[in-house]
Amino acid sequence: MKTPGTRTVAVLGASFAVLAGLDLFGLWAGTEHHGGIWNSVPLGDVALGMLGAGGLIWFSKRVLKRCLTRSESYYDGDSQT
Amino acid sequence: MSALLLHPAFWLFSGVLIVFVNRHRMPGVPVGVIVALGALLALLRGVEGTLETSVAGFQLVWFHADRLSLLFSLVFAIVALVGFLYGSHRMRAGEAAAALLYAGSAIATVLAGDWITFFVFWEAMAFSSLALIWQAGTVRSRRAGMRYLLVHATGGALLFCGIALHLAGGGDTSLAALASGSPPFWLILGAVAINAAIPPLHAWLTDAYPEASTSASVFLSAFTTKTAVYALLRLFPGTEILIPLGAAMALYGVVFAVIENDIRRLLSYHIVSQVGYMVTAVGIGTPLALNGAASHAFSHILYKALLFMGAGAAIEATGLRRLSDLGGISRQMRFAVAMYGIGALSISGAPLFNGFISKSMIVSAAGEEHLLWTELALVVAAVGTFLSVGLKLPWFAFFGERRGIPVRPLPTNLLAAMGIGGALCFLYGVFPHLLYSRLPYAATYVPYTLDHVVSTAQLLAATGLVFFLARKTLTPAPAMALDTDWLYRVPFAGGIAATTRALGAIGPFVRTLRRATVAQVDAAVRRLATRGAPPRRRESFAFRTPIGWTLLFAAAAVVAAWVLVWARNPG
Repeated sequence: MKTPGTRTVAVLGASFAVLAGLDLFGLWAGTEHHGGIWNSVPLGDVALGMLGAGGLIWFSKRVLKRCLTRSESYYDGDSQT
Repeated sequence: MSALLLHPAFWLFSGVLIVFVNRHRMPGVPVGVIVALGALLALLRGVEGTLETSVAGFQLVWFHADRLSLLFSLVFAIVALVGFLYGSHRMRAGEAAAALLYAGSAIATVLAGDWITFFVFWEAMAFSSLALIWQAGTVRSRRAGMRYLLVHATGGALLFCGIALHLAGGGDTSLAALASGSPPFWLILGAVAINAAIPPLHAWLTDAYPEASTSASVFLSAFTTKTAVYALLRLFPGTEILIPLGAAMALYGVVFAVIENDIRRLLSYHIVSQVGYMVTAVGIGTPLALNGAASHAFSHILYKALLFMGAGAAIEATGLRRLSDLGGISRQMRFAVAMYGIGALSISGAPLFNGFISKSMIVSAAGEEHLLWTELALVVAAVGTFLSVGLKLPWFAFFGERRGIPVRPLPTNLLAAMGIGGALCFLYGVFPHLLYSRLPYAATYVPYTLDHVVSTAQLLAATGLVFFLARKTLTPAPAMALDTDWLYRVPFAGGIAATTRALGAIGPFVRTLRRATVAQVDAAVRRLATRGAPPRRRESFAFRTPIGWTLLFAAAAVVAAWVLVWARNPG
């Protein structure tokens, strides 16, 4: 895999800056917020997204994969239905 | 008579007859397209009224249209039309007939106005979908179909017993919400939970759908689970147990999808996850939540069909179905990849696409009821959906490392069907009132607020960043994950085999009886399942367990029918 280039980092940085700006604008303008605490603090959704995605990857790849993964031929050749 | 002609399912059932009669002279697909179009036009023209007959003292309402049933019928007819267009280059008469029967049964189920009609078409849907799975003609589809039969025969028995008990207890024949906590309530909820694929009763879905043909899986993704959502909306609104079940379901699907390698199995896990949103909404039970469930079912049918069409396009172009084998083919199938992208953004709930206008309604309904943990689970499930369907699958299947995989050109009809699917996902996303004006309950919702849009954009951007950083960890490997089907594929099947051996040892009487009954049925079913081709020797046992369950189901049905008749005429 290639390491991220300057342009990629710049695009990512700009995107998150725009999102943070919109979030702050929303708070400043007093728009109605729905849902939990993550929705009413600046960049709370970003934090939840990162934690959620990271947590899912960790749980799936580290816990679930270790416990439940078998070879693709696991069910072959037995008397299963 | 006019009501009969306007019944959308009538068009599809008549298509089955036309295909069957002309099976050697003309392909079934043009018939499928025409009759699906007829059904769609009948619905768009506005169908009203009822069609009733009296049979053995029961008032059967074959057709009862209200806003809820018409919404589901409409999207079923749309997806049937798109599905036939998608598969028209490869569908044989048998597959077309099974698909027509399946689509017609699904529409007839949601338009049924009484319990008996509902049961008849519910079961017709189960058996026609089984025929559709078997039409793939592979050993894997045959075996998966048998397991599908086993599970759905159990579901059918539960439903029949529930209905029989309800009617025997003096319940009304018209289809309506049941008294909470009664035995019929739990039996029917169990049957519907099987079709809705609520874990741990979900494994039939992720087992069977990936083994059907590429065109059949488009139909399969649309009907069975969504008729179950319709049944939940109609019969169990506000049943609180559905809230935690649905939230767990939404997470269950995404967790398994992260480690899945087969592209259609990955998408199947996301059916489980997305139906979880709908189940949660039915459990919440407010008008906003119920509208959310209905509108998300509508959106889901459209974008999931598009996603299965995209996965099928990759399989048809390369002959490969695993992420670990695919990669670097996007330049040779740009349009299909673009349409898949629309489906992926829709399922992820991105603004401007139809998933956004329906999924956010359910999340907002949970927020309004202060169900913090439920809302959190649904938001995390949305993150996982974008991670798997929006990033992992397209990255490893279409983009990523170029491997020099030969890519066959895709037929025009397939691309046209994907184009229609993509256009509909975008259209409903940009003009939500097209869907909202058809919703059944009195609740207003505005999806495009600054808060909703920024919140969703932040979640998707953060997920994209995590994927970008962790994509090496997500590299798929050729392996499979055990799921709850292990229970009936290993210990249960082993137990049945041991019992069969023990019975065989009792004596010549049992062996003679077995030869005279089970072997005959076994052979008949084998001929049907293999479409005349000789099966391998070791497959013999594969047909017995489901047959046993089916016979058990039939016995239960007879007993329940007897109870029903006796209860109505005790003299």
